[in-house]
Amino acid sequence: MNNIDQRLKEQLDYQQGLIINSTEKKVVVSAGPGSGKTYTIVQRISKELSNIKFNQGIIACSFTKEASKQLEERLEQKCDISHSYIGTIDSFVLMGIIDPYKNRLIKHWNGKNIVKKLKIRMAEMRSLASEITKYGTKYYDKVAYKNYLNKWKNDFLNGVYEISFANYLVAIYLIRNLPEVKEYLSNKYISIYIDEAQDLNEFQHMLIKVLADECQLNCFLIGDKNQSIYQFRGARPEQFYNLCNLGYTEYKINVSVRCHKSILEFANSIVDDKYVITGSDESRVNFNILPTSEELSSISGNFMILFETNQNASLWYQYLLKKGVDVIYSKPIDIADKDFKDEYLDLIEEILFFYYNFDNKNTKLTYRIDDFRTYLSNFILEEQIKNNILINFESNVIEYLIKILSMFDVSLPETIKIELSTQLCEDVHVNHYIKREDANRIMTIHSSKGLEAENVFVVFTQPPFKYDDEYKRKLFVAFSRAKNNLYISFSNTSGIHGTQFESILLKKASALLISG
Amino acid sequence: MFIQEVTIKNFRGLDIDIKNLKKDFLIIGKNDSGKSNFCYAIRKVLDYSIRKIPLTISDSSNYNKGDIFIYLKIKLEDISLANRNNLSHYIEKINNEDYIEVYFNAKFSEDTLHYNESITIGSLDSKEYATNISNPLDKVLDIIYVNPNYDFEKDKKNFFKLRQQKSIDGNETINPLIKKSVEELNVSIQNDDYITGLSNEINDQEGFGEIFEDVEFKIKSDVDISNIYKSLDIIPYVKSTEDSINIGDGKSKTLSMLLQRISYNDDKEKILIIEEPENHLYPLLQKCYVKLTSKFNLDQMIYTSHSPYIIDYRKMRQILKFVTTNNGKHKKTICKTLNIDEKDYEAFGFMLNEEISEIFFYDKVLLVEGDSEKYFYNALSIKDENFQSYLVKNKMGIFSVYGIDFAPAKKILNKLGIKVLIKTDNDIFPKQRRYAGIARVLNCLDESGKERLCKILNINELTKELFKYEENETCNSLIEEKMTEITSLFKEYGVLLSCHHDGFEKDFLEFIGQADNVEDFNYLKEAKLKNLHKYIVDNKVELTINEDNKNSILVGFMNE
Repeated sequence: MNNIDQRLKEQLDYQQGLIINSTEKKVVVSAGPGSGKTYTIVQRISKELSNIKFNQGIIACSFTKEASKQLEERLEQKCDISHSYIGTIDSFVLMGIIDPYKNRLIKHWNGKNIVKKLKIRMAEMRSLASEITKYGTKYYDKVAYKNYLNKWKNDFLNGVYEISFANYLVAIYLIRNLPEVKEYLSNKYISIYIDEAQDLNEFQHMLIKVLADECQLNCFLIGDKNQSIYQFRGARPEQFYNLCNLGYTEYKINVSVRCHKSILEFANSIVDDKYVITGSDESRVNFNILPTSEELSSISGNFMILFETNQNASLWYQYLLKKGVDVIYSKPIDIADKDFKDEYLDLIEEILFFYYNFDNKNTKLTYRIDDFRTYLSNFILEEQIKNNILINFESNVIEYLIKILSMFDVSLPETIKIELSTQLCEDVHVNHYIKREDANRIMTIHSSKGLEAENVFVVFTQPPFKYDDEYKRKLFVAFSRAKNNLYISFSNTSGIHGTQFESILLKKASALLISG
Repeated sequence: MFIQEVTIKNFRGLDIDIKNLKKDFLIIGKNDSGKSNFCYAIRKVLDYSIRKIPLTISDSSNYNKGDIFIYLKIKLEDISLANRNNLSHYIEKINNEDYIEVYFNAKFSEDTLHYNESITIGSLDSKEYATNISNPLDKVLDIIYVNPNYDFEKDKKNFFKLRQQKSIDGNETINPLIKKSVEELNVSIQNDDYITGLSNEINDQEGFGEIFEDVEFKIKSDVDISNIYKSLDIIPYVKSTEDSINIGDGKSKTLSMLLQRISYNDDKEKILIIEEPENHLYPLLQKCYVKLTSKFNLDQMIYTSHSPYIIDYRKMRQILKFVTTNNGKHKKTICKTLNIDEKDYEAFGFMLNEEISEIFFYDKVLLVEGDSEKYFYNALSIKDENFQSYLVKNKMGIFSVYGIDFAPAKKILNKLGIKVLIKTDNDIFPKQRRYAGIARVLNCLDESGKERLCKILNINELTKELFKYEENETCNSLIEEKMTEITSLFKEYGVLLSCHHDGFEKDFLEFIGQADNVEDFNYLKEAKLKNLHKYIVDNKVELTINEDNKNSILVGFMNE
């Protein structure tokens, strides 16, 4: 943050200011990496709350419990949130809409029970409910869908609430069929704010539309369409894109406090064909500089070298080792079973991050046990997170993995157990999960998600198989890792020189420098 | 917002369920009929200062230690948005209107010899609160209770306390020049010889110098502007001469009420409960007082009263009468409701005023047609002890409808559970050839009564023509023949009809044993009340009930 251009800071302030002071009723904000999203939301909410009277409040939702906790802490300090709801969108649907009216809903459905407290249950990870959430209603068997909803309703009539996409449909049903619910929400809340809105699934989008149109809530959605990573969980970034057509006013923050302006502009231009580069007198995007040991010794700051495949990364790593360059090569664990991987890889990786960083020597990077507990609470109920998430020193990493996974009722198949044990014996894998500040790293583009370095070298050894949206997003992630300098090179070996791919990149980069 | 329904079980002798309460209503009833307990029950639920006083055995009916239950259904109507949000999801929608339901439950505990109490707000989706903490409803609604014996000191204290709070919260302060002079006052006090003498006394004590070293003490005066409220009082004085004056109960009570009016929180909804506003006020002032309270613009006003001057038909469209019945060991209170609307007011011929209002306080009423009858019964009650004690024992009153139809009065009185007797002349209008008297009271019979009348006259249906007679006749012979049966049928229904057609004057003469005195009859008929009065006074008539007249139509009802 210290090296930020004064001009850049002014531009960021200006863009944030437009958003904070905007008065439209439906606003969507695309905000890239390092754009101060949370700061912007906090400022806008406190401005709105200072003008609210009549015991009214706002709803502010994030996707994870960690994020909503942080948001709540920051807001508490600035304004009176006693009439507002801050939490995850799931918890708002439960605590803010369904739970206060649960018995009236049961009566409406001709049930006979009176429920004092709902029993909460998470939908099983591979169940029909999670499939429908992922793939949407269109691709699903209508009969199965109806059956699930009936089952959900029966469970509810008996006081059991399963967390699934059905919650959103029930919330909408309540608003439309019990006029007291609609009145309650319209009177109590003025606006709804959603962070990471690019990850909203189709059901959540439906609910937000109903809240806006039928309960007259103002909507403020902020997200980064280029960083949607939860599509496998049902996120619909294309719906986020489409909000402009539904009456939302769009604002953008395209200033970053992480990347140099030219790097961010370059990355934006790759992922968005319509993006117009404004250019400046300095471009930090460089071509044809390979990360040789000589080159690496001449740059200041740490570096990250990205390849498309592990094979190439590994080869280059060997080369650098021989030359005595201080660099860490790491790759994430891999699981052959695709289904298992789709479901559980993120979870397993997070467990590993905790395991390897709870005692990180650099206290800034320590993964606190409370934060891990909060992470787990996104998926299972607090009661199920028993106190034994503490790491027992006698046990090894696999035993710890098994222990945590058992809380999710997930058992590790023998083959996968062996697969992971083998991998986690190797430094190359373990290194991937130990957080280090300012280390020099070499890895694949995919693995670089979430990391950053002052200098980033991206080496292409072949033209892309398919230059589509997904590939472009991958490039965006790779290029936006760089804080100060970006070096793009094309290795000679596979005839990448002279391809269309190379010329596209060169052409975009050429616009970065204002001629004259 | 106002209370629309109240259910009370086992509380201080009350077991009632009253629905469809209006915004403003009046409760009447004898002493010990439960009026105050009813008001207390409402305050117990809605007023924090009363609610936190725990219930004891004596609060259960007949000390039976049974469960006590109070339910209130409150209609929200014009509640403010801020208050609506305070009540959040407890608001229920019933028939498209917004309500909030409150339940109070108390269970007796043998261990503590007290009741375990709780308040629940909301019905299906409800929350239970302890009674010694404030709940969401407290933030929304204030109960303003006006004590039957006003408490001026308390109201005055409250008034100043609230003003002081307001000036701390807001920016209303006393003039800064005054602040300055208070500061100067503090300085003067500090510099006063006597005061400095005191500090010298402290500083001149031998031997403490070692410990205090170079520290000394002075006395600081701290008269504070915000404490000023404690030194304020409200003094009455005569405007024209500026002389102080003492005011009596009437004005004190009114001042008390005025202070209450300006001492409450504007943001909250308010329900007023005012018991016996008539105390300490002479009748005209009683009427004014009610007009005043109705100007408060409160959400609901509940009055209890023993005074007919309090009843104002334009405002109080609803009167509840609490009646206690003694069946066996336990007394039971039942509530009779009278709703008065614009049509009733008209039907009464705009005669609804305090004279008629007095009727409501009785258990039994004899309605008479006019002044003469009224005069007679008045005189009888003064002169005849038996009659007087009969009236008191039966809580009976006698009222004139001044020639206007009996039916509206009877209807209203029946609604309040008051038994009605009607004394009417069995008169014939020769010009129209009608039995006007009988026709007048025909609707006092119910269906079966009318059937019996048909049977007596041997006809299938009662028609208008029935009570008329032909042009060349002087009467209807059929009716005349059956007159005795007809009049005794009506007597069963509380209608006192004589068999003859000569009116009250004849009844009167029969009563005093002058039945056949034609001269007296003509004299009385000449100038009804005026002559009646003169007749009684001049002839020193003995108005007493004796063996001869105790069964006469005028007092025969006493023997029932």
